[in-house]
Amino acid sequence: MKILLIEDERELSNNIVTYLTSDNYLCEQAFTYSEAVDKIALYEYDCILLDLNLPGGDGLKILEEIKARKIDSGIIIISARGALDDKIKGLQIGADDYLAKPFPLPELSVRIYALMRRQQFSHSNTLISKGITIDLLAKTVNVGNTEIVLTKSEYELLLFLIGNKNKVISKNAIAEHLSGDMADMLDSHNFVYAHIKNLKAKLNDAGGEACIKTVYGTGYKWEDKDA
Amino acid sequence: MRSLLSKSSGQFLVFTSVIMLCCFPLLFYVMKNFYAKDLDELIKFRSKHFVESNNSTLKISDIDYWNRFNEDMKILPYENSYPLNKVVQKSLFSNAENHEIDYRIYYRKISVEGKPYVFMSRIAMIESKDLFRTLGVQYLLFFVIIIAGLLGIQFILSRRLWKPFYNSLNEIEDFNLEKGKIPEFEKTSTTEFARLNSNLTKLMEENVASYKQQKEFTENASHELQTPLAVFQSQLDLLLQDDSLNESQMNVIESLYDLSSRLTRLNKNLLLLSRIDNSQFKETIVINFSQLLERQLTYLKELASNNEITLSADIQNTLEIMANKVLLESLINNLISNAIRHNHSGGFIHIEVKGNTFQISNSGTKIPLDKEKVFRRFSRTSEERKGNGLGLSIVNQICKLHGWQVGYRFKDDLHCFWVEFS
Repeated sequence: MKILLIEDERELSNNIVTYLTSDNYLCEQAFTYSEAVDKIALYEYDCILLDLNLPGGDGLKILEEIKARKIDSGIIIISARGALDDKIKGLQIGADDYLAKPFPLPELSVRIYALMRRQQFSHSNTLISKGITIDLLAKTVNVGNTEIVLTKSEYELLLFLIGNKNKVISKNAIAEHLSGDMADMLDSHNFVYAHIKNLKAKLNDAGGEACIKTVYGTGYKWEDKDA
Repeated sequence: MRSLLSKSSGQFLVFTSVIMLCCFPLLFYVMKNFYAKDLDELIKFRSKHFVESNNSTLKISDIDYWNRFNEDMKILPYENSYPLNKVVQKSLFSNAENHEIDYRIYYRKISVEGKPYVFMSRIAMIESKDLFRTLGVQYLLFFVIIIAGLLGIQFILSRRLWKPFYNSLNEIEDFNLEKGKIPEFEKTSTTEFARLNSNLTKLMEENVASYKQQKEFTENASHELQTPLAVFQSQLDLLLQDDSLNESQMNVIESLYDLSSRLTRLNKNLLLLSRIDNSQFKETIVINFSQLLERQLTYLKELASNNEITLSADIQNTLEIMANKVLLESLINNLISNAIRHNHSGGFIHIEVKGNTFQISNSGTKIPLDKEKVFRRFSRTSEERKGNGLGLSIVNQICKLHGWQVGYRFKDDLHCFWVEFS
């Protein structure tokens, strides 16, 4: 899957690329406005990650350009501007998602994952990992033939883990994903621990494999080496 | 507190009254003196006139006759005891007044048919009491007219003189740093007021400029911080993927990750505050507050129960308000998360919507918070470093922006925050 990352901060850009590349994504980088415009004109991408503050031009212009060319890549805006009208404007012009900087890389990864799945499977959208089948439209989870009932948070947590499979995710990133801005008032350690424990128990009861690995009690990982 | 005009008039009245009162005895004695002198001249004149025109034709046999018809000019047999040729004052019985009164008396030695006599010329003085009364009444009348006149003049003059001052005062009273509109002062011909106005204008211009600069600085600083924070966070996410990490290294990364999240949230809140300050949330729509609250509550209830806190809500009526939606959501989140954060496990939160008031009461510490400080930035009222000290000041700014009333009270061991929508 090809991703174009338009981001002028080289270090951040490189980190994103490193994180995503191991996920079977092929990443290309553009650091300036003109570079980005050139690449869009020449190649096709499944997903474009777009920073709005670029040397040489406004990122929103690139977005307009993409839409004018009727390129149907998924577009996620990653911006430090964070102003609400930027977000609204971006989504109005045709971006699929908006992520304000700074963000945890697993969050970006899961957004790309969700976007790609939305784009590719618009009718039946099932996700299979290690014998667990998730119907993304009906929001049901099956282990083998047994349906397991998850709370909303547990379901989100499962998707977050699978969306970052084989990656260690910190508790903070999970807490932030599950509770957004309210994460700071939770004892994130206990909160995440409790949810992980419940999810593990439910999967285990239904006869699923023990895919959730705890890394020294500080991070979690969904192990699926077959993927 | 009294106005400049009433204060100056009051003091003027006191001082002039004191001076006028002090002047009265002086006036009294001066008047009395002049009066006596006047009388003295008269009696001297009478005696002179007698000597010059009557003395030569008067006979001794006429003396009784003369004395019978002249009450105040008598010819007396000569005696040594009379103080001659000077005016003396004596208390004598007056037939007219029927009691003793002061007389001015002048004795002069004369001779009638070669024999020495004394010519006594006298005149009754006005009584001190009467003089005092007459003078007093006149003086008082005069006093009242003068004071009233002076006060009137002072009033008119002050009004006219101080008018530019009051104009300026009204203008700066309406001045609001946040609105940043500097008032235009009326032109004045008084040097001092012109100076005052020009200095005020300068002061306000500088204030507005530095306020604007400060607001922009906060926003720019928060913006600039976001990129390094993003790089920092991404480095940590990559570092976590390293298989060779041991437990203690993982713990270090974990705590760094915690810090990074805290910095991020702090920065986000600062940015939100400065955006509100820079009025970047202008669009308002009609929002059904009760509905919005109810929607937020499903999620907030879960959060509360995670912290072992009971959250109950009593929404008595639908409440529609004009507001910016993002800010209104932030207001609800901040108030409720605040109530969760500063609670204890087993505690409770009660939310009430009644009329156009939204109120949150929660259990917590038994000590009331400082009403003055509670909405200030970074003013933590307790030792515990929960939250980042910006939540309530964000709430305050949001209310200020919309023109809502917000407040805090402590009653029956409950902390209660309320917002009254207008």
